[in-house]
Parts: sequence; structure tokens; C-alpha cells
Amino acid sequence: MLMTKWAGLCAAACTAALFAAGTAQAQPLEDLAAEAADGPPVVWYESSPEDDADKIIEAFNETYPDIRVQHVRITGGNQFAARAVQETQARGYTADLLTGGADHIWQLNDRGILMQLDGEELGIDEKLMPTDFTVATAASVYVLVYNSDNVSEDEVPTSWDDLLDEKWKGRTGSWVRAASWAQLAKAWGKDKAEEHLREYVKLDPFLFKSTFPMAQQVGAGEVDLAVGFFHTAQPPIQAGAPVKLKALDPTPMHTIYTSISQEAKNAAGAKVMLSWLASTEGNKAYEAATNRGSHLIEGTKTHDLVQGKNVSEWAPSETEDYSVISEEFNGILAGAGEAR
Amino acid sequence: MQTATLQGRSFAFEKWLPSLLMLGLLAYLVLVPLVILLVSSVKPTGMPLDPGWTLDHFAETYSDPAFYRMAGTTFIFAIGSAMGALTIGILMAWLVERTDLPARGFVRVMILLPMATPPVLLAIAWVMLASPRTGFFNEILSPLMGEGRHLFDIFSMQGMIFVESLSLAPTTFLILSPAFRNMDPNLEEAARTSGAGIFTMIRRVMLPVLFPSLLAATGLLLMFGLLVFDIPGTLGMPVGIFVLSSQIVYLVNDAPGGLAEYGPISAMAVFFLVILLMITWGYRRATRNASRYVTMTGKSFRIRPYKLRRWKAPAVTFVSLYFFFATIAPIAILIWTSLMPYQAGVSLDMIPKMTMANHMAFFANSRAMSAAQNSVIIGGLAATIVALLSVLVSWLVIRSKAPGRNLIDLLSFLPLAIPGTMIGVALTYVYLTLGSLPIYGTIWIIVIAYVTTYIAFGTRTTHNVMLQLSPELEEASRASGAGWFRTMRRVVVPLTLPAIVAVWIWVVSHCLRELSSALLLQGFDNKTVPVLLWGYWTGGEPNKASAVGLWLILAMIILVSAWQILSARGRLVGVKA
Repeated sequence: MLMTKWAGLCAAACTAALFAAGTAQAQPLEDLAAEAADGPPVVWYESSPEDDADKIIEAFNETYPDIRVQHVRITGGNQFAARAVQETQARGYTADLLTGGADHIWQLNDRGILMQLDGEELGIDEKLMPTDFTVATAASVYVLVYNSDNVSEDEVPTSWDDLLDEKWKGRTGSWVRAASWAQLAKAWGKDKAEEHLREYVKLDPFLFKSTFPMAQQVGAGEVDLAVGFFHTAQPPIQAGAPVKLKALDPTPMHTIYTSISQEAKNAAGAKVMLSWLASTEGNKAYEAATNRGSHLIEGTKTHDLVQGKNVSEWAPSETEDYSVISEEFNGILAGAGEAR
Repeated sequence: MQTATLQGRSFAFEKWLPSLLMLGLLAYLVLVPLVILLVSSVKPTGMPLDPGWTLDHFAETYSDPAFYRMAGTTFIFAIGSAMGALTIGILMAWLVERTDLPARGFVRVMILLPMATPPVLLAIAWVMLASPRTGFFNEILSPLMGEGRHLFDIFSMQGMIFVESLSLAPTTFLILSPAFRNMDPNLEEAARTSGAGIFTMIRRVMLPVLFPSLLAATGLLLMFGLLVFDIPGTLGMPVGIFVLSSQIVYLVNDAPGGLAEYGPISAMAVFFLVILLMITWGYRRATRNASRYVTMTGKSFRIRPYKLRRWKAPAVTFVSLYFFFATIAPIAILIWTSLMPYQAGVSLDMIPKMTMANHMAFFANSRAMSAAQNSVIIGGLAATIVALLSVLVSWLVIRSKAPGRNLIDLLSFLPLAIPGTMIGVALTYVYLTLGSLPIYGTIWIIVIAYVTTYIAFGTRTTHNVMLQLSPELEEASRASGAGWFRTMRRVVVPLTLPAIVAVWIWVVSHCLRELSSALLLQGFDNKTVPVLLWGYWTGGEPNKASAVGLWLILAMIILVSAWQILSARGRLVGVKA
């Protein structure tokens, strides 16, 4: 009886504590949401197609119906960063919410464009915040993309070394940028990654400007096997093309970050949106629309994809090292043409 | 004495006024982006408002052997494409304008269709038609060729040149067609009466008369070939054939470091500027004796088509082959792709999977309708402004003795050497800074970008016709008491109308497919159809991109057909001086 009473008291105390914690976290967000509702639309620079962005905004508005969000699609991360710099230099402000790669976000921070964030206030898990000016909201994960009509399950490489097999000569493809090998250099060291890339170039790979059309070419059968992204291979897969994926170990990856600009016109709205993107619910909605979620948030497909794998990625603070290797590796991969 | 001085000043002012007005307008349109480009080239980060100065971008760009390798490849591509397009364009223009080729009106519509096809879609179509492994032509020829062998490989320099030539042929046709139409047939008749054969007549009569147009077309085509990315990016890059535009795209989007590298891009653009200045100088020098090219005089003439006789069959075959490769085959494969759920080769197995979903998605998308509306407004406005400006610039440069006309000519040609990306960058700075003119993020900023970009094509085309126009016609009008405006309205504009309409059509169709500036200047509600199409393409939906491309082509068919119908009714007929 006593035990039961104690158990009841403990449960009540725990519930109260949880409620209190929940309230303490939710209160500022509610205030922010109320403030944001009176403000202008939250302008969001991001690279997803508009139709996908509509789905994200729709899901966000289910929770926060009064906050208006305007998504502007900017592809090419460098152009995104350049535009934010230009707008800030010329008129003093840019978009409220900015989503890009580590190199772009760190560039913007170096120029004093980004706002310092309080993760606790926004209820954002600290593992998503490597620094106080950005939040890891998604990841682009490299996988092998193959045509399942032309490549049997037994043939699919199970390691990076298998990819170098002579049988793939003239049958393989890659993004024209050697970014996957540059990221592999983090796990392997530069020399091993470079050697692997040089061997790969001997297979006469087809080089593509973007991994989206590359995945389509895999589906069409022009290329049998390619090093691409998980999310860019989803459109042909979802359309029923004979395309399958395999993640290798180590798994190279780029984390995608979202920040708020210092002079945001609706800073409150941007904070609410960022907090939502970093939540399980928001991130799953973002992933459902873009096929790209955060590997750090449990319950997302991206999390499951890299689960148990050795993820290979340069830390944001090592962006300069990554850039130097990337530039050099791009040159090696471009040599694929001369080798033909 | 004082009155005389004042009159002298007034005369000088009147003499300078047209030049000053035009120079002011062109300086605003052209010099602003040009200055920003030059400033970018000497800024350490390439961002014009960043601190510091450097010549490193020039040193690094021009000391890199890879730059010269790429420049060599680019020249091969540009020269090959220009030659291909000239061959097709000259023959087409002559056949349509000067011979008894059957169904010439239909041919005139059909030849312009590839112009409405965004080059990236034309390249994709050709990948599906002639890629080594899954290309349609290789598939159907595989029983003849044997296992693993293929006849066509579109992923090659030859493939790039072939597709670019098809893409540029309509432009060549539009430049040359008015010149052919305005050529006095008495010249041909005199040659024939003297016993000259067809080849002698072409060599001794036509080519010399058409020299300015040919020169202008060659210069333009070379510059287009040097700067184009879509076709070499789609057909060359996969096999490691890189041109200078590939490097520009790399520096804008993908270079490590996190920021678009405008510094090296601008330094590289200076190379294009030098080439363009050489072309301009060559053109001015070659056409300095304008009276040699006059073919439109006060005498009336009626074009008597050259009878092809035994050459009719080869001519029809040539035209049919061009249509097949430039229009029918690519459009057929785009129709196929637009009906597929994903990119797939032509096969019976795929027929049950055909769907209209991609077309339905286009019409159900409210953004698509808004983008179409934006494109029509932008295209119509930009084309009208370019056409009017081109006539005025050409009149000042070719017909008048206005001071500063050489500078006007140069300014109107310079934008051709400025990459669309840099025009976008410049306009962004200008209109973000000019808070009093809030057009950033609207369709108006794109109109300005397009007027700047396409004024070069417009003036080259109207220059040629202006060179063919005899000054006697204007003199007669003036002698009859007509003022400048009336002379322009009643004499110059009607006589140059075929060229003005050609410019208008060309600019509209290019506005309907231009991407670089539109992408850079896009805001929330100024998206154009090419941006939408690009969005589908880069978002992994080539089937939807094909559907949008097909509707664009249909819009172009309607536009060009309307032009032809009006021409046939005599409203826009060529020259009846």
C-alpha cells in the first residue's frame, strides 16, 4: 500500500516536473509565435523545389497557422551565400532563415551576418548545434545508386574497393565534383582517398553536373552504377524506375545547416521555424518533402540510413582543409576526360 | 556676334543631343554591369563592395595552363558550331527567301522552332536519341552494328558541335533572312543574263552583297559558342570535355570555399571582352564603306523566285533532314519523355506506363501559370524595347553622322561578352542600393537584364538592313518636307520592319528560355517559365521539365505562325520601296 502511495507520489512528481520543463521550454516559443504572427512573412532561402517547400510550409502551418513563410529556392550553395552577402552589403538585410552547407554558413558567420542562437530557449537539442549560430537540420548522404535491371544484387559492390573492379569500366558515373572522395579523406586520410579516386578515374566514369540527372541516367540504363546522393535518387525510385541504393562503409556525408540572419525582418518567426525544423516532428516533415532529414534526429530515414556506419565528414571548423582537398580532387576527377 | 555664338552652341547641342541621350541610356544599361564586372575582377573576394584590391585573379587565371587548354577546346567548339550554323542558316535563308522551294511559309515557321526549345532540353533529347548505350538511333541500328557497338556517340566534341549547330541555325536564319529578302533581284538577274551559273552567282553576287550580314552572324555565333553552357555541360562534361563556360558555372556554384567566385569569373570575362572588341573592330573595318552594301533604293522591285528545277529534290531533302534532326526527332523524344513516369528509353515495355500526370501537374500548378504570365510580360516588354532601341542605335550608327556613334555601336555590342551571371550580380547591387527604385525581386529587373543582354543581337541584325537601305529614300522624304520622326515612321521603320520583327521574335523566344539572369534575380513572385523548368530538371523531374518544354514550343509555334499569317496578309511584307 505504502509502495503504491510512494509510486503514485513519484509519478505525480515526475509528471509535474515534466510538465514544468515542457512549459518552461514551450512558453518562449509560444511568445515568439505570437510575436511572429504580427510580423512580415519569414523569408527562407533554401534549395528544395518549390513544390516540396510548399509541403514543408503546410506541415509547419498545421502547428503554427499564423506564421507566414515565403520560400525562395536558390540552387548552388555558393550563389546562395553570395546573394546573402550582396543583399546585406547593399540594403542591410537578407532572408530571415538561411539553409546551406557548412562552408556557406561559416562564410556568412565570418561576415557577421548570422544571429547568435540560444538552443535552450528554442528547445533545440545541443547535439544539433555545433556552434551557437547554426543548427544541423539535414544531411546529404552519399550512396551507390545502381540500375537493378542491369546490376544483380550479387554484383553490387559491398565496399569502396569493389567499386574499383575492372568490370565497371565505362559503366559507372559520378557527380563532376569529387566531394564524396574529399569527405572520405576524413576517415581514410588524404593519401588513401586520393589513390582510390585515381583508380576510379581509370574506369572512365561519366561525370554529371548534378546528381539529380545522374540518378535519372541510372534509371534509363545509360549508367549502371553511380556514386550519388540518397535524396537525389529518390525521384526516379518513387516514380518506379529500376533504381536501387546501397550505403557503403565509411559513409561520406555533408551536413546541411540552418541559421537566422542578424537583421531578420521576422526574427521571432524564423526562430519558431528553426525550432520546428530541429524537432522530430518538423524534421520528419522536412524529410518527407525533400528526402533529406537530419542524421542526428532519431526516427528519420536519414538517421536509420547511417545507423551503425562510420560517417565520414570534415567538421565545420575544418572547412578550409576540406576545401583544399576538394579543389585538388576535383582536378583529378576532371582528368577522366583526358584519360579517354 | 553673341547671337551667332549662341546659335552655334545651340547647333552643337542639337547635334549632340541624340548621341548624348543614346549614350546615357546605353551607359546605364551596359556600363554599370561592366564597371561592376571590372571592379569584381580586382577585388580579393570578387564581391564589389568588399575591401581591398588585387590583380591576383588575373595572374592566377592567365598563368594557369588549364585555362589555355579549355580556351582551345572552347574555340574548337565555337568555330565548329558557328560553321555548322552558318551552313544551315545561309542555305535555309536563301531557299526560303529567294527560291521556289515548296511550302516556304511553313518552312519559315518550322525553322524557328528549335529556338523555342531550351538548349538544356535539346541536349537531353539528343542524349536520349544518340547516347552510346541507350540512345534510340543506336538501339534501332544495333542489329546492324553488332553487340556492344554503336554508330552514334552524342557524348563527344562532334556531338556537341552538331547539337549546337542545330540550336544556332534559327538565329543565323533570322539574321540573314531579312538581308536575303531585301536584296535587289536585278543583281541576280543581271548575273543570270550574263550566263552565270548558280554557284557563280552565289559567289560573285550574293556573298559580296550579304557580306555585312554574314560577318555579323559569324561574330555573334562565335560569341554565343564561347559562352554557352547547356549543351557542352550536358554532352561534353560527362566525358570530361570542359569549356570555359563549364569553368564559370563551376566557379559560380561549386568551387570550394562557400562563396561564388566572382573575381576569377570577371577576370575570365575580360578575355571574352577582348575577343568581342576584336570582332567589333573587324566588323567596323569591313563595313566602313557602307554604300557598297546598299540594295534597297528608290526603285521598286518584285522578287522573282529562283527556279530550283533539278535542285528542288536535294533542297527539299536538305530541309527535311534539318527539320527531322532539329525539330521532329527532339520533339518526338520530348513528347515520349513527358509521358513517362521517369526518364526511360523508347521501348514497347514502357507504353503501359504512359501517363499525362506531368502535363496535368504543369496546368494544376498555380506557380506555373504565374510563371507563364511573368514570362509573357517580360518577353513582350524586353523584345519591344530591344527592337525599338536597335533601330534607333542602327540609325545613329549607320545612317547618321552623329558624334560618338562608334562608341554607341561598341556599347550596344559589349553586353555579349558579359556572362548573364555577372549581369545578374551587377543589377542586384544597383537596385538593392537604389532604394528609390524598388524593382529588386520584381519582373522589371529581369526586363532590364534582358534588354541589356539582347541589345547586341538586336543591333547586329538591324545594322545589316540599315546598311542595305539607300540614303536617297530618307533624303527624298526630307525633301518632301517630312521631319525626322515622320521619315522614321513612314520610311525607315517600314523598310526595316522584317528585321525589327525578326529581332522581336528572337528576343521573345530567348526570354522564354533564358536562365542565368532569371535565376540570380528571382524573388518570391517573379519566377519565369525557364526557372520553373530548371527547377523540375534540377529537382530530378526531367519528365515534368519536358512537359513544360513542349508547352513552350507550342507557344512559340503560335507566335511564329501568327507572324507568318500577318506577313502573308501583307501587313509585314518585306520591302516594297
